[in-house]
Amino acid sequence: MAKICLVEDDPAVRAQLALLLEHAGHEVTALECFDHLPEDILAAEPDAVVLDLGLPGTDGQYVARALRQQSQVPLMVLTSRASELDELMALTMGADDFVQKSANPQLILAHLDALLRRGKSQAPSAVLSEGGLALDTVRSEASYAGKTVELSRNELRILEQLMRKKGGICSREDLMEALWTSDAFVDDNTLTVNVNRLRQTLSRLGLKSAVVTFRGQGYALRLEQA
Amino acid sequence: MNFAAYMRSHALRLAASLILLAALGALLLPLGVSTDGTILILIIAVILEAVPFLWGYARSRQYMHDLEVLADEGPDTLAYARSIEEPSYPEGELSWQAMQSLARAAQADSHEAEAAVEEYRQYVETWVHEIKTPLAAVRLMLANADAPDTAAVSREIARIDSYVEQALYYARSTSVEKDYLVRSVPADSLVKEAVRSRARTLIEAHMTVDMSGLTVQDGTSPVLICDPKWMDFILGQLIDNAVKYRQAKNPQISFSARIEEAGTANDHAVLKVADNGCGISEADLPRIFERGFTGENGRSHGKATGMGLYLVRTLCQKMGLSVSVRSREGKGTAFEIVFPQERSRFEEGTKLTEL
Repeated sequence: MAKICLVEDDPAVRAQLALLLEHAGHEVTALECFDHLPEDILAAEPDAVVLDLGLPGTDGQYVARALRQQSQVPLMVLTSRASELDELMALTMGADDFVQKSANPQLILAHLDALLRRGKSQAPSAVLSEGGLALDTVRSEASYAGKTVELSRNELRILEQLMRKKGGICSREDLMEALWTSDAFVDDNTLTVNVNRLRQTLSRLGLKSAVVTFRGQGYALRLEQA
Repeated sequence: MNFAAYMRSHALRLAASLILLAALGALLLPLGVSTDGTILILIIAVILEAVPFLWGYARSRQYMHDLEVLADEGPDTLAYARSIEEPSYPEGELSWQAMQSLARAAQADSHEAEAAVEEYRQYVETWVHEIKTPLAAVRLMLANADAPDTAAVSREIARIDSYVEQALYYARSTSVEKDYLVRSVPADSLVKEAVRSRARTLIEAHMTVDMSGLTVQDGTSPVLICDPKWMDFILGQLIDNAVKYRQAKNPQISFSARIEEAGTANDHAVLKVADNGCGISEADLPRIFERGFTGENGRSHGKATGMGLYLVRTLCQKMGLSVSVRSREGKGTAFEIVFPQERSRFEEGTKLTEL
């Protein structure tokens, strides 16, 4: 579980982002007052910071530079400013990543995972757990009943999506989109192959028929039947 | 105004002079003036009539020439009008002053219009920036809500997004300033980014994406010099079109990049975006980059705004790139964008050091 400090002034986006990160297995500190930056960020001792640029009373670019002078914490700028100049400025001021606020939420999470992985060798892990099955999305490991297996990148993305649905059906389109966001531009057939590989990997944990096919609808994770 | 025209303009005065000379010639001899005296008087009269006439032509010649150039409506009429030298005779001075006040008024009007366009562009930029926040909130709510069938809402959000982007880039295309930032980016990372952000659309259309042509033999990808954000929008328009005009069976979009004439002054990279869709008819092909042109395909598929490819060409031109198209009906369409590689292009965009 990674501690994320969220600096975003729009209440709706802040609440939803916090929820998204929590669902992904992170612990979130969302700042609501921006008068004492970057001190409040540092006080939260985060593993990574998600920073908006347009803040009331101050500017994210300034905060990024001030933060960088005191800490090497991984910093993602998440903004609706979309010009190349803004990106270059943010990176110059010390941000490690620059992501559009309007990006697909999966993409935001993928970028954050990559940032955490890059951060340190002792990267704090983000763990999803569901019915005894635990998935570490940063280390790409799944564990169940004391056993641990390593997952390929595609297997990880598929299992992560299925676990997020908590037993609900996940459409093939959703799975493919999740794979595409991590640069695996698979087609229909490859997805089927990847799902079968995941089944084999999970069977090494003793979960033989955990991934259930629903014809024409998609897949779901059913741990109680396993 | 040539001399013949000047004579025509002063015909009455010329006629009066001739009558005067004829009258002197006819009357002086009968009045008892000697032949020599008559000739002398006639010579003096001719000189007195001709000199002011020719002088009048000479002093207005330059100004008249300038006015003729102005009347021809050359490329920069306003600047030319303002550069004309003031003539030194009363009628000329008056018309010159009138012309200058017109030119000043026109220039002020055009400055005002330019400022209004610029203000509007800035407003659209701000507006787009503002609208993205609630849109992001909705998208996050959909991702967080475990409700079934959010796909349809997501699709509509994506459509809103693409219209919002179009408004933003249309506003940018009207700006006289260079508000882009040129960088060198590998073709594959540019294309991947563009494909990733349109993943849902491509997946739902069952499009196969072929990017194998983006890497050359040694595993690297040709470097393109452009503003990556602008290029993402341009690629997005081409991807959207490939999806919209796809064929029912095995629709495909392929991306490839190559370097041509490496090491020469004409060194350039080419990015090619090709599909196997319905193609464009020969009659429509020359006009597809025109603003508001929808053509046969646009009419039969509906929802064409005629803005997408217009913006593609306009933005490419602003960045110093050229775009071309080849297409065969029923076979597919291929767009090629040419990126000149010379380093001087970095100078054209805004420089970070100027901030």
